[in-house]
Amino acid sequence: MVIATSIKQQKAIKPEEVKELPGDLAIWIFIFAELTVFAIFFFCYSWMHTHHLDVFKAGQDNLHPVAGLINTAALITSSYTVALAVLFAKRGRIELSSHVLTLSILIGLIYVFTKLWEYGELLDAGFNLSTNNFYMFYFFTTGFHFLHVLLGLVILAIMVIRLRTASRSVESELCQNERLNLESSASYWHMVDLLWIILFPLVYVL
Amino acid sequence: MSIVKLTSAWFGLVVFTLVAIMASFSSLEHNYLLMLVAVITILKGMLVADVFMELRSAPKVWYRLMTSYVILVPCIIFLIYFLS
Repeated sequence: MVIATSIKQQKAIKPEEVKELPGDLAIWIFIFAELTVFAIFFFCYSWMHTHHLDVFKAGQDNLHPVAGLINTAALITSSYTVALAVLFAKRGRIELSSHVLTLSILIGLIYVFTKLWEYGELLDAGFNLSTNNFYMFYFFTTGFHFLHVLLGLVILAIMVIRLRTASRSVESELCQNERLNLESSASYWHMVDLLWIILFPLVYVL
Repeated sequence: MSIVKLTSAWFGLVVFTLVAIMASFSSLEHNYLLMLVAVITILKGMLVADVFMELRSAPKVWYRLMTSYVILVPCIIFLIYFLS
């Protein structure tokens, strides 16, 4: 009786209604752990900002809003092209997917070089982690995010190599394992984008 | 997911970013600027979670977790600034 009911329920579920987590479960646990750590940084930054208004205002005046805007555009666009790469891979266009993923890395590198230029400008002007509370939070929070961007770029580069290997094989579609790896990498990269979406207004706008 | 949907989400993210930047250069009162930036950040976060991360088609618990994060974090930041 119970088995019959279970079979009926299984038949009632259409394939498109089956909800699947994109990527591996472990990457999502990691993503939420990272998001929690960054949330604590964001709250601390906001609290310090409201208690040291003059120091933070003076510090923000030395930043380059255009650099912040370029970084935002780079991460948003890179996240978009990574989502496109996943879509193409799911449709069996593995070679195109690897090309789009390569483009994502190149756009991600725009962020890296812009941020390095920004850090260089501030360090040349004599500002560093120990200057005051603003620069301590600025270098620490954006630096920690910057390390996540670098890790994300390495992961995407590994996925490009794996996709190119897969595109040379006789099978026209990605195997389940590679599809999960690609989705996990993409999810991590989207998390990096999401964190910058919150960090950007905190540092440059407010 | 379709290319049109992904492109629309990207366009939305670009527009929201420009609106936030323009608002910061305008003579908008600080509390209104705070509110506008918080709303824009929530909308951008929802676009990334829904469209790019494809969490809308994931099990509900993961979608709700991410949605809670995307809404709660900007709201708490807004409150910290607003109440100070």
